[in-house]
Formats: sequence, C-alpha cells, structure tokens
Amino acid sequence: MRLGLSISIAVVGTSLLLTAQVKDFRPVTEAMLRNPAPGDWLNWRRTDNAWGYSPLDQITRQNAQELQLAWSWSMDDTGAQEAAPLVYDGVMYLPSPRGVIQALDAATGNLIWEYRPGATAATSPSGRGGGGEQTDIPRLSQRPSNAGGDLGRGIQKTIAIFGDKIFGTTNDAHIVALNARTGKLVWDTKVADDRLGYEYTAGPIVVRGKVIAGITGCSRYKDDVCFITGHDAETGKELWRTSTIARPGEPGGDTWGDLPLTFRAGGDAWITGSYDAATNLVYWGTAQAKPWARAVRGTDGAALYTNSTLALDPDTGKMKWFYQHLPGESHDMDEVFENVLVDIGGRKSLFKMGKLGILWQLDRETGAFIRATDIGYQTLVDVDPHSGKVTYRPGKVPQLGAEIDWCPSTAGFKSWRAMAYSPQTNAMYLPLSLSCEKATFGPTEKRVGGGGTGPVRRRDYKHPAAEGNLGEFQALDIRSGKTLWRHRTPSPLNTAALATAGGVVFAGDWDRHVYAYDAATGKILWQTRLPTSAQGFPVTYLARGKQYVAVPAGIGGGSWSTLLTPELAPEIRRPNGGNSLLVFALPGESSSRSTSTR
Amino acid sequence: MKAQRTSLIAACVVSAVVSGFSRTAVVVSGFSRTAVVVSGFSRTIDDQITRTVWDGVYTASQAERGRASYLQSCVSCHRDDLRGDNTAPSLVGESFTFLWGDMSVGELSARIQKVMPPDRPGGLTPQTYVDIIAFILQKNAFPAGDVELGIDPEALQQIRITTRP
Repeated sequence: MRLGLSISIAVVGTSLLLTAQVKDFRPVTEAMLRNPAPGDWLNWRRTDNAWGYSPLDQITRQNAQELQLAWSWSMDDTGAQEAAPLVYDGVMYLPSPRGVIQALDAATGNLIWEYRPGATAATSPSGRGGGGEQTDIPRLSQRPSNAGGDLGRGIQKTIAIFGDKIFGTTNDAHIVALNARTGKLVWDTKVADDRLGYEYTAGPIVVRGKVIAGITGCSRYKDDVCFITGHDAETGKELWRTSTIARPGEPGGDTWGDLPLTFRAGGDAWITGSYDAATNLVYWGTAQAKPWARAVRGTDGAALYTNSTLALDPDTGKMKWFYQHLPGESHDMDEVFENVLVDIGGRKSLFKMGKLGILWQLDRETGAFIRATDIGYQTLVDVDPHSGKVTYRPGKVPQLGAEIDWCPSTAGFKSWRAMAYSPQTNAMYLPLSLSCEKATFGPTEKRVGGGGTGPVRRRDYKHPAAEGNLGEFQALDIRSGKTLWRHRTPSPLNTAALATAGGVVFAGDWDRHVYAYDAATGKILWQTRLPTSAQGFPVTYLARGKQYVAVPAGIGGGSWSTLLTPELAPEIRRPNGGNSLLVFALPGESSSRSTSTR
Repeated sequence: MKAQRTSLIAACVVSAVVSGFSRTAVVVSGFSRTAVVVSGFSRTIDDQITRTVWDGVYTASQAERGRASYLQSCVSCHRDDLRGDNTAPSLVGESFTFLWGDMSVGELSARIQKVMPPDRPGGLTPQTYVDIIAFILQKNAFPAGDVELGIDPEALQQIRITTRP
C-alpha cells in the first residue's frame, strides 16, 4: 500500500516535469520584434536599434533607493557567463554557459523548462582542414557541460526569439532553434567546422524570418575566412553567407597587399548586430585583422572588411555599404561592438564606440561619416573631424620587437559591455575600463594553422588620468559630444548599461557592485553587492504588472578586462565562481509571490 | 631535516665540482632539490650551475599530469594544439620563445599563477601549475628528465628558458 502510494506520487511528479511548458504562449511576430511591448525585453538590447533602453518607469529616481532582492537564480558554473536574458510575456529566457538555455517565470524565478545540449563526442583530431598542426590532444567540444570542465569559455552572450522559437549559437559553431514553449530542440545547423577554430560567442538576431549570426574564432590561418550568415528561421537552412574579409580578386581584395586568402585572418563578427526596418538594413560589426600588428601580418593595407561596420540586406546578405573605422588596425583595437541607431539632428545615425573610446556617428542610410567624439583617454590616433580619417600618431605603429606605450591597453576603454542610449537625456551611457600598456609585438608562424593574434609581451598600467581607478561609468551627450557626468570605480565597469524611462540607469562593476544612477546627474540612487562580479547584460521588464531589474553576476573569462583587476588591483578579490542572476524590485503588493509555473 | 639538506648541498657542490660545472652532470647526478639548494649560495656557484629548460627539468609523467590539467583548465582558450586563439597567446614555438625566451621558469610560473585561468587566477594548486608548465615545456620539445619540476619559486627562478641548449 505504502509502496504503491509513493510510486504513484513519483509518476505524477515525472509527468508534471515532462509537461512543464510556457502556457498560453503567443508566437512572437515581426511587428513585436520591431516594437516590443513596454514590459518585454525581446531583443538582446531590447529593441532592434540596440538602445538598451526600457520605457518602464515604475522604478524612478525618487524610489530607486527602495530596490530590494525579489528573487535570484544560480546559473551553471561551467564556464564564463556574459548573459543577456530575454523576457517575453512574463517569461525569462536565460542563456547560460555552454549552450544551456532556461525558461523561468520572470516574477518568481520558477523554472519552466531548460535546454541542455547532449554531450557530443569530442571530435578526434583530423588531418584535413587547416585547423593547425593536430596534436594528440582530443578536441574538447565546448558545447556540452563537461564534468569538471574548462571554465575558460563556453560563453553564450545572447539569444533571440521569433515565432514559437528561441535561437542560440554554440561554441562549436552551430545555430540551434528551440521550441519556446517546451525547450525542445527543433533544429540544429552546423554552420562551420569548429576544428578550424570557428565558434560563436554571440547570438543571432531575427529579421523577417531570417536568423542572422556572426562567426568568430577567425585568427588562425586557414583556407577560409570568417562570415555572417542568414538562415531560414523555420528550418535552419543557410540562405546566404557574407565574408567579412575581402578575398583576392574581389572588390577590396587589394587592401591586403598580395597576401593569399590563407593569410587573411580576423574580421570576427563576435558581437550581435542591429536592424532598422526603415532602411531594411542589418548593421553588424567586424573585429580587427589578425595577426594584430601590421608588421606581423605582413601588410600595411587597410585589410577590408575588418574593424568595420557592415550594412547588409537581411534577405540576401548583400553588403549595401561598409565603413572601416580603423583601416589597417595594428594594436588589437576592436571596433566590432554594438550599433546603436538614433535619429538625431535630422540624421538617421548609427553610433558605435570601439576600444579607443571614440564615439563614431555614421549616416545609417549611406555609411557616410558624420562625427567622431573622442572621450579623451586614447593616445594612439588622431581623427580628422571632417572626414573621419584616422592617422596614427608618430611612433605608435608597432614594429617587431620594439616596445611601444599607449592607451588603452588591449582591454580597451570600451568592450563588449554595451552602452545604452536614453532619449530622455540624449546621452549614451558608457561602461568603461581605464588602463594603458607597454607592449612588444612578436612574430607568428606563417603557415596553415599558424597565425593567430601574434604574441605580445605586455605590461598593463593604470591610466594616468584615472586617479588610481580602473573603471568609469560615463554619460556622454551625443548632441554636444560633452561628458555629462562620470563615476569612477576602483575596478572596471563590467556590465552593459541599462537605461530606463524612470530616469534611472543601471550598471555594475568587477568588484560586485551594482549601481542605480540618476540618468541626468549621475547621483548614485541605490547600490548593492552581488555574489561575484556584476556581469553580462542587466535588463528590466514587467511581470504581473510589476517592474523588475535583472542583473547577471558571474565570472567572465573571455575578456581582457577581466584580467586587469587581478593584475593591477590585486587587493580587490572576488569568488572564483558564482554565476547567477539577481532580480531586484520595489517592495509592494504585486511583488513576487511563489506561485506555480505559468 | 636541516642536516640532510646540508649534506645534499655538499653532495651537489661536490658533484658539480667533479663534473666540471657542466649542466648535464648536475642533471645526471639526479638531485631533485639541486636548484633549490643552490639558490641560497654564492653567485659564483649560481651562475655556474644555473640550469636551462634543456636540462631535463621535468619528467614525462609530470607532463602527462600537466596535459590532463591543461585539458581541464586551459584548452578552451589556448586550444588543443596550444597555439591559442583570439585573446589567448600561443604557448608553443616561436610565440613561446618570443614571450618567454631568456626569462626564467619562475617568471613564467609567477605570471601564470597571477592571471590564469582568467576566471579564477591562482585557483589551481601550485603542483597543478608546475605540472602544466611541464606539459608546455614538453610541447616545446624541451627534453624530459628524471626529476620533476618542483613548486619552489626560488628553484624555478634558477631555470632559464633558452632557445638552444
């Protein structure tokens, strides 16, 4: 009797687990992606223009001081975590390291479903392809969560939603589509051979039924180049592929001198793009050429289409225009980051900031240069204010074996931690890391499998203007180009910025702080400490009518900035783990209740 | 213990003298603590018997342990052939020589312990760090010997990374 009872309970429990799904799910339409409901966070930066701005205003500069923890959730500690959650209709879709995606009730954190990629067999070494001289070490597939696995990467920054599917990219160069109701795998498309170094660290966007994603892992010499692809959202079928490197004989191909295709590396498209329905263009950034230094890669040429902003037709991948920010870049100064689309001063503009801390304003219809605003910390280049033409300052182009000294360090003032734009203040909110370095560039092996970024002997140091700090959160007025306010922190700013219509902006630092700032003045309205570094992409949303602010915390191994604190401020410590999500809200009636899953 | 160390020193010095201060002879003599012991002594002795990575400063089994640890903690950035990618430099060949040539294994070890793995710098045991260094030395074709690379920082400072024996 007793035995029978427990069996029946177990059976009931199992069936509940199996049928857990998002109830009353309404497919996400193209119109919703272009104009998300105020309470939703539907694209990686909420809107397709990458503002990182929410119209929610329950949390205001008056009441932000009352914010308190509503719920929290431990994320997988199997890798670096730089998550950008999505929220749709009260459900949060949370990317975790190594391809894990979970659907949580956004009011309580209750798990609705989770997707855990099955352990795929580690691919054995293969002589074919150009992935380098193979060794006896089996390739570690980065997608599955390996027991005691390597914490270095497994990064899955962003995901996308469209129709009834969630789309993710994997570290072994696949794109996957999950059923948004159940978390079940719908399709899995292998886009490139990870044994050649290809991987994804950033997710796709969906435009007009196409899933568009940019590959990374482009630094080693191989008989292929990096690319951005478009796929059918229903099937995963690849519809187009646009190279981020100009091949010999193609337009722009002569910007690599006479280097054969094999030695044209870089152009990693490692940050998710933006889209403007009015221009019907997808805007995607590319990283610098590899190896980093001109002297190492063997050409002084501009090396198209590296370190550029590309404007692509979402249906064909055809490049409508490109703008190369730093032609022939030579120091690992990425310009790959988010494309923030703002109409201002009568111009349909695209704003972008790279590692140098120069805010570029381009005409997003034509790609024409409009303006460059240097926040004043870099020591490498001068920019012609009329043409945008970049000139390296004397002695700053590295020669093999000769030390040079410049700011920023390779961490960059700005990196993947996306800036946010508030239309209330016309300000761009910049999470910055302030450092400089002395560096000597060395040679690489010029053969298939060789190359890479090239070795660099470097010594980082604190930026002389930073008064001993490594971080800064800055509000920059994009009309005047003037700094509205800045808040310096001993450790680097470590999250994307989040701006809200309540006049409150949020960001966090390596040293576990989260700050709520008055968007207009920079006054700190509220702050708290997290289990480990603030990390990834804070978001805000409505669940059951109440505004929440979700802040990821965690270890991020995939970025230089992460290395700065142990090196330059070793007195600041954090736990070596603790990937998690912390969700804050105001106290009050509609606050989180532990109810069952939707 | 102290006495034992002293006699070791004596033996070492004797063997070094007998061998005419040749590095090979020191290795052949098989004193696991040779470098440690010597580090406290006069510069003359230091200079004469400082070892290089060509002197069999790790063992094959240690490198095998290091390989396992590398697969746990390093491979996703430095890759399966140690040639690195993106932010992670190559740990072999010309790149390794460029980065670490004419420096000591101690400097390499200190650097790795300070910043690696990037998620949890210093998060491995001292033994694991030197095992991984043994593996890196093996992959750079520096010969294995009979004695493991030890964890003593001063001893590691005495081993130089040179491009040729």
